[in-house]
Amino acid sequence: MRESREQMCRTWLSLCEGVSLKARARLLAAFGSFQAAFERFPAGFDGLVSTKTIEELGKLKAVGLDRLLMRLEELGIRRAYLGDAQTYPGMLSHIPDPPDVLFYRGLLTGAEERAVAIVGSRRETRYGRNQAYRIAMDLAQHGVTVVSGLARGIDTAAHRGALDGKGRTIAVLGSGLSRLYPEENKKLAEEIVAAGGAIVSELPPNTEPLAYHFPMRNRIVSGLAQALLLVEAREKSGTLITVGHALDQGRDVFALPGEVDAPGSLVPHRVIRTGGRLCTCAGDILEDMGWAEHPVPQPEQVQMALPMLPPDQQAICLALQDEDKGFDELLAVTGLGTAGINTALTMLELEGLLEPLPGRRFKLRRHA
Amino acid sequence: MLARTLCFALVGIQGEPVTVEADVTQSNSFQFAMVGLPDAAVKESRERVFSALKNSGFTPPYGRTTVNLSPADLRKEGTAFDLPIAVAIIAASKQMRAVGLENILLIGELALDGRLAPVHGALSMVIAARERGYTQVILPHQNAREVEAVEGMEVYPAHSLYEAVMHLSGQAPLSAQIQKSYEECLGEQHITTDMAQVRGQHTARRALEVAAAGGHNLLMVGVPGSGKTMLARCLPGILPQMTREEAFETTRIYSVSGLLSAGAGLMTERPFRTPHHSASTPALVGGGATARPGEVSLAHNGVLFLDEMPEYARAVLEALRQPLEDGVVTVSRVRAHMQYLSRCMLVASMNPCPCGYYGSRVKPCRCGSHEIRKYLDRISGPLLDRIDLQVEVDAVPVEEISAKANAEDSLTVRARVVAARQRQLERFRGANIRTNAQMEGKHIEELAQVTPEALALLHRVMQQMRFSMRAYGRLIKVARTIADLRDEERVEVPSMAEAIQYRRIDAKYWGDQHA
Repeated sequence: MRESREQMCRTWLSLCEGVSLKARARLLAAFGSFQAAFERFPAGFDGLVSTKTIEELGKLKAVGLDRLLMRLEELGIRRAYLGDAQTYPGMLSHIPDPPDVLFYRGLLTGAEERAVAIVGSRRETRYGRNQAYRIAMDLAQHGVTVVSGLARGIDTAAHRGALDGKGRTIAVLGSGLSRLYPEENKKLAEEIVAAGGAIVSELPPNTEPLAYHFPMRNRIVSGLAQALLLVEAREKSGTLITVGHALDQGRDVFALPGEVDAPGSLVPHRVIRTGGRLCTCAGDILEDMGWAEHPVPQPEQVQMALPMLPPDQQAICLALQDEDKGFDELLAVTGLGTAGINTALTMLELEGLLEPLPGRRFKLRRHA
Repeated sequence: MLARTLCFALVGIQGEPVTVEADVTQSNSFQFAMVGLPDAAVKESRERVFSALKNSGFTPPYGRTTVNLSPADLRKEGTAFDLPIAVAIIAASKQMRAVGLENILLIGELALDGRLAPVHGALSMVIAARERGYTQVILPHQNAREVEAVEGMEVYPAHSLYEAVMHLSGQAPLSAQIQKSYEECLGEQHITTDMAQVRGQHTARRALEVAAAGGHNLLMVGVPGSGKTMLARCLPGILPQMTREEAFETTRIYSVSGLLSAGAGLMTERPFRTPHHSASTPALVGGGATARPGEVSLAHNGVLFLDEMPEYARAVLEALRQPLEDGVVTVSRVRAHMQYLSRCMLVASMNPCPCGYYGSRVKPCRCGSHEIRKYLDRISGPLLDRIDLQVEVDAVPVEEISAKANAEDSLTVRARVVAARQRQLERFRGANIRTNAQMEGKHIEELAQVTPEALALLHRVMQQMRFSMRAYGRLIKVARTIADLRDEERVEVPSMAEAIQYRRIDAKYWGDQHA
């Protein structure tokens, strides 16, 4: 893609964090075009942007437009311009305050794309993590793109699930593309890009992950998708902001229920009570969004396989049918010896019928 | 006149013969000199010896007294030289007959009134003397029981310098202690913490049994108050009884370290050491100016228990790897260079997360997955790799605690452990190892005898549960031990499947989070 001079000038502005969306509007009104603004810089900028920003823009201009773009190319960072039907995501262009230039690595498309944003707590529970992973995987298998924020916790599980579902996933960062955060998700980001997804940011590549970036980032997360799924959020959680953005942008909001006395269930349950949709599996979203060609079958239940199992494994499945149990309870209920139970547990686990919980507790995996 | 007596100096846990020479020349002035590399405690013995002489009814020699500790280039430490020095001076000043003194080992610290006080390392000295063909020893009565199992030794426990001199001069012979065989010493053994006291915890009980049977190191992960410490304390009681050699090795280390209480006999129970997590590297592996044995050596033939393992300094844990692997620790200092045995089982415990309650049903956990990972990362992979068994311990529900105890006691479990160890000894005859835990690559290939079905299961698990390659060998070793406990020639599928349950933490906590 060859960029026009006007577009290059827009990138020039985007490489400076101090140029807000409002400042761009003021510049456009004053100069008529960004190219004109660039040519005449710094004349006429006083009052429209801060002195510090002018200084920074001056440094960038001194490098030269071509060199600036070359540097980005070297980092593998591409640009999607608002209004460009080829690369700029259509959904995003319709939100109230779309980013003018979107930096990205990987693949972005302006074509119609089914996408669901999955967001949630960074201090997730095992339950939330597993569900986010499972739903993301199922969505990905149904051709739905999973959008999230590459943060710890639910975000990571959602990206991971989409990747394992061999689907496409987009990570929106609250930092520059060269300052991936958190550190341990660098590998995940590479996998996302390699699998045909994208990592996206409206911030200049070297921007640090500062707290005030994230609320802004969140509008892009919800903006890239038609629906938002909330998995676990505590009171005062940042994900509440994403839910707010999603409502402002007219997105469908889903929430995953949890245990009523768990701190992470508080916000999702309130969302459900105040008009959000209940989501227990990917099928719920597919159906409500009208994306399901056929009714999506409910996940298979484990009972189906029961008669095929050897007696010792059957005994354990029966014992776990209503509730998860600890090892010692299983021992008492089944009457199998310590060694016998351990053997059966390993086999069930290998068959994918059993999920070991921390503290030597076990749970039937109801969803195959 | 010149007189010689015999004693032993300690070098590590070994005894080295030292001849004490005293020469007294009558003259008008009082002069005393001690040569032969004595340390401060030995130098001070002059004051104790002279007071003891006087208060025991002897006359401190007036004139020039020279004491030489030979060989003169060996450093002498401690207070055990008091008695041989005193006797040598008495003989040299012609207050007793000086015949045959060089053949009787003399050990003892003197109080100012002439009574004998106990010393460190008596067992090492007596064993060293026996090895060199000496057959008689006079030592403080408090140290007598410590050496009661040394065969072929006439042991004369004495209460005072006066008694010792009377015996040596033949005026009032002491009666020799009746030495015991090792089997007689064993008769007095008792188990401090019995398995019968443990309620519930069937996984952990079984893991302890497997650990004991195969000599495997063990890590227990569980919420606070789940009884990890108590479980660990049960381990010495279900290990096979110490052999005579083992008991001697362990007692010597304790004797040298001064940790044997006065009047205590041979240690027949396996040691259980619980160093605090603030312990330094020298405290754990050995060190100090004189290169003392560390906790890992004090746990020799027994159990080293690290409670709350992630709380220990990382460098300290890393320093443990070599002694655990080699069974011997070499401590080098400017003035000393010692080797101490350190063949012990490592038992470690830890919480599943920083707050401790991850997975608990009693209290919710407040930790994010990132915090948990950081906590677990404090233990390095290489150290974890030396821990074959990693089990989770659950908090015992209240109803289990109040339930009547009908659990097996330690002696029942020990019988199975002993049988399993016997199988291992037979299998490894000629292979220069004794337990399954010591197996290396070629032993696993040649001697583990895993059936193709069990191996197929293992391969499937490795792939599906994303175990590291290192876990492979560990799993086979543990499965081998389980098969030994079942008295099976080959490792069948059930043994392998059970072993896999004891390696779960790898996948669940340390591996990929979506295993």
